[in-house]
Parts: sequence; C-alpha cells; structure tokens
Amino acid sequence: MEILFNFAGLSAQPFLIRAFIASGLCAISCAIVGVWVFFFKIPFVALTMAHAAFAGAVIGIFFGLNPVVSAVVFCLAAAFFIAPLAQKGNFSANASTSIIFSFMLGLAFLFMALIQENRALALSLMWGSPLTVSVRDIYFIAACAAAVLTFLVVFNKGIIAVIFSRDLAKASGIAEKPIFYALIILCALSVSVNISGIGGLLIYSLITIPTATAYQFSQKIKPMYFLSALFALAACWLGLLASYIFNLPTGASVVLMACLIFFISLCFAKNNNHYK
Amino acid sequence: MVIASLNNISVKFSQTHVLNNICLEISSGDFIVICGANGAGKSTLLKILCGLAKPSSGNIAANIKGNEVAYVPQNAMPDKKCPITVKEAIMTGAVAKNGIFKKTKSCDIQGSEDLIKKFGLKSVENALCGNISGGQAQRMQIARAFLQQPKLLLLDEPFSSLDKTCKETLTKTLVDYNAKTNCAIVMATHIIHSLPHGQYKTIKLEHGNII
Repeated sequence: MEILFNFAGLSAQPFLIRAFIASGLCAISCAIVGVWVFFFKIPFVALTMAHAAFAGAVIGIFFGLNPVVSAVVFCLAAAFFIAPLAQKGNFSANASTSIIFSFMLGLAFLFMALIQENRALALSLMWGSPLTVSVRDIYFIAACAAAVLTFLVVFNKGIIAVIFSRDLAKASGIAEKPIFYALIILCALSVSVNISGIGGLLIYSLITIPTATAYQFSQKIKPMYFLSALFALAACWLGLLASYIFNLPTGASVVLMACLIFFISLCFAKNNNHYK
Repeated sequence: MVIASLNNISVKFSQTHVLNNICLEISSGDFIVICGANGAGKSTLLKILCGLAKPSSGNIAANIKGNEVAYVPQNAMPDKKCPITVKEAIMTGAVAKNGIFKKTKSCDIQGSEDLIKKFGLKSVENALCGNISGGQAQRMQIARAFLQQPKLLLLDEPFSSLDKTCKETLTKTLVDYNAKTNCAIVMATHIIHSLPHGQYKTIKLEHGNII
C-alpha cells in the first residue's frame, strides 16, 4: 500500500491507511454481492437496501444510536419484509420492494428534517467519507467482507444451483429459499456497514457497476467474481486517491471512477452481442 | 413399493379448474406417460409431484426424500445470460443428490463426463448453458436429472425440441434407465407414438380430469 501512496506522492498517514483498508474491504464484499444481484436480476432490491440503510442511519442519529447498527437493523428489516409483503398483497416481489423503497425514502427525509443537531453527520451518510472511518467501522466492514467470502466458499455449489434455476433447485430438494434469502441478507449487510464510507445513496453503484464492467470481459461466474472485485477495488482506491489529491467528495469520486472504468471497458471488451 | 400417491388432488387458479380430484399411485419401476392436449393439466400434475405447485385441495403421500425427485421442465432453455457452463449445470444434479456441503465425489465427476458423452454434449461442455440450442438444453437437463440418480424422474414434454433420431435415442435411454435403475418415470407428452408398445402405463388427461 505504501508503494501506492509513494506513487501518488502521499505520505502513509493513519487516516489514509484506514480509508484504503475500509474501501478495499467494501469493494470486495460489494463486488461479490453485485454478481449475485446481477444474475438474480434484483438490482432494485439492492437499491432499496441502500435507501433502507440510509433511513436506518438517519434514524439512528436522531435517537443518538450508532448509525451503522441502526442501518443494519433497517436493512435486515427491509430484507425480511419483501417476501411477506408480496405474499400478503398478492403481487410480485418487485411491487413490494418498490413500496418498501418509498417507505424508507420517506422515513429518511422525514428524520433528516427532524434532526436538529448532527445534520452534517446525517448528510455525510448520503455521500459517505472513507477518510473519516474509524477502527471500529473497519471491524464492521471486515466482518461483513469475511461473512460474504465465507458464504461464497461454503455455499458455492448451492449458489450455482440456485442461479442456474431456482425452480429446478427447489424441485430437486436444494434449499433454494434459505440460500436466496441469505444472499439478500448479505446484500443488506454489505450496504449498511459500508454506509459511512461510500454513502447510502452511492453504495448501490458500487454493487452494480463493477459487475457490469466484469461482464464485458467474461460471462462465466467464477471469473466474474474475480474481475468484479478487481474493478471495484480499482474504482475505490483510484477514486479515493483522486478525492484526496483534488479535494473532491469521496463517495462521488469512487462512483464516478467506477463509471469511468465501465466506459473504458466498453471500448476494450469482447463483443457480447451473440445473445441477440 | 409405492413412492408417491396423490389423493383427490385439485388445483384451481383463480376461477379456472386445472386439475379435478386426481388420484394417482406411483411405484418404483413405473413408467407412466401422461398425455393430453395443451391445457389438460399435464405440467401442473408434474409440478405438484415435485413440489413446484401446491394443490388447492387433496393430499400427497410421499415415501421419498426431496432430493430423490428430479424434474426436467418443458422449457429446458436456461436464461440467455445464465453464467453457468453446461458441465456445471449437469453437476448441479450431483449437488442435489449429495447436498450442498459435501465434496464432489470422483464417481460424480466420472458420471457427469459419461453423461456428457452419452447425450452428445462434449462439444459444448464448457459453453454457457444459455448459449446452446434448445435440443442441447433439453439433453443437458436430462443428463443433470440422471446424475442426480433419482427414485422419481419427472419429464415435461422431453421430446419437444428434439429431432427424430434424438427422440428415438432418448426413448431407448429412458426405457433402459427405467429397467436398470428401477427409477419411476412420469412423463408428460403429446407424442406417444415413438414409445415402444407395452412398456408404460398411459394416463389421459382432459380438462384436468383423468379419463
């Protein structure tokens, strides 16, 4: 890491090292979750999780609680309510997700307006700031990345079977529902623990864009995990450096860097139009 | 041995009666062909048997575990953007058989290679399963089901995307598999003329009723 700092003409200050570690771990968990979100075609679920995390964090600040913990609670609650709400209302999971999305957005703006003190802190959760992450935040982020990686390694065969076909997995006795909901819960965790670093509204981009970039180079699942993590890491670290050097908002720099890498990848990618 | 029995199963979607009081007993070694026109309820009956659909009334008694049932859907083609290769897709049959935590056995790897050759999928084994033809997808699904070594194999219109030669080969393969393994096979099809006479029990469905 010092090589990277020296290359950029920076000294390895503790807050900068913390920022790089946090964003690196965030990149890994978001990239893996992103591959699941991409192939299960549930980007809207990830977007809803991002807003639930933001609402939870804002409400946490309002009540004087740890915003990361309240973000986790709200994200998990949102994840648990998607399926029962769809069942009760007799409509698709997409419709119930949109209701939860609106509810969370409404809550977030309501409590933003009600917060008297710490409004700057609440606003920073919207855009994130990896340069201010604490050691405790890093523990949360590392635990989440470890959970995502462990789940991937332990349940890889089940994940492949469920991505291949949820119906066939169910028909042949594979526990497809627990696997699918575990993926959603890990998505919720990844979004919520990284809210202070990347920001509630931008974390969604870090889940979707590196995976879309990876898809330009490989359509097979195993290389996609690796490539997606690589592009997410590049976006996080280059975005962070750009933000530090040019004094830009960090979350926005990271997301714009991810977009830039995606557009560059479009120029170099193999032609994927054989599906048409 | 009776492995599954359906007792007065009825399925109703909104105001439409899809199946009416169906009673069916399936024993080990049975080869049952369910025939009927489109909309007769054949696919729903198979989905009931593998747990993909729930009956509105009636009950099912099963003497086999969930992973001892293999299902080959009518639409065998996976999603166009499915990131799984043909080989990995076939191996999901072994995952169902052994469970998701167990290490892949060498006999399953050998079994999948044999099935890939048997079903003529060698040239596409490393291709993405969404990029193969309809006929290849159907053979891949059947290979996956065989690797699972089920006690009950459910096939929904398995001949729909196959040419004449493949249909004959598959018919022979299914009859041999049924005789060799004692696996019960329930097949929904409207093409019954290619099956050898007398090897199977035929059930005719019309508007959700067995006639």
